[in-house]
Amino acid sequence: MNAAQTTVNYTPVSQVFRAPSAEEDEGSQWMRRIAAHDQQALADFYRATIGRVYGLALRITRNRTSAEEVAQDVYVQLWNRAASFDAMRGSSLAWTLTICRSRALDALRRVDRAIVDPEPTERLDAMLESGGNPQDLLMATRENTALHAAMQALKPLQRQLLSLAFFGGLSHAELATHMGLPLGTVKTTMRRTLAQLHQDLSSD
Amino acid sequence: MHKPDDKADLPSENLLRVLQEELRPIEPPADVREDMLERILNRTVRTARSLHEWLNRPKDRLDD
Repeated sequence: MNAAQTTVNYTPVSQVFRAPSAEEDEGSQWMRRIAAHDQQALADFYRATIGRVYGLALRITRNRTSAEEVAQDVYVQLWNRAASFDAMRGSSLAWTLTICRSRALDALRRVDRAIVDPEPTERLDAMLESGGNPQDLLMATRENTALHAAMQALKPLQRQLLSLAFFGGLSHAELATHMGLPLGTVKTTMRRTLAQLHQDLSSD
Repeated sequence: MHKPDDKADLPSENLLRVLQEELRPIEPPADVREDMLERILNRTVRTARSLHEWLNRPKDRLDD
């Protein structure tokens, strides 16, 4: 963990829709320039955000090639849709990552992962050199953040269900099938997990 | 059959957004990173060119 990662400030859920910071203003300026089809602006925004975009795509698809394709699609989509970016609804990074997650889940559903990569999780483990499950939200979230602390407070089953819902886009019924759990157990666990997270993240 | 509450307790948009923003970045290898950028910029050029060509297509094809 380097110093840059330990000093990142966490944004409380309750303040997601807030006045833009100076950094977000810069993001808005990038979006305006990209909307005007300024390639240098797109390149600058790419270099500033590719680690976040590629990281999210890689964790969801668990496949390097798919993640690269998703990331490219995200920036081309930004190029085509930057004019519709609304800074009042969130930062340019949040908008970009929302597009990324949507495209990555689409890619995940399109391919038969067993054919593309028979051991995707193990390969990604090696890729990340982190050991354990790279989709575990405790490992995936940055340390010294409120979200990381909230993840630490969750039970393993709670974290696993939340991870599958986040990275796999699974519904309750799909979570129950995937985990071999009764649907009622999944619903109750998810409800308690989200209530606990909401409480932990709102009281900082 | 409608399942009214199947997604009722799934992560909200706000939580999804926070999760997305707080994930550790993973940088692609430097060569891959630059290759990806080159491909993206090439695609944006193609998009602009095809739009330009469509806007400037021969008039007798406008009614196609």
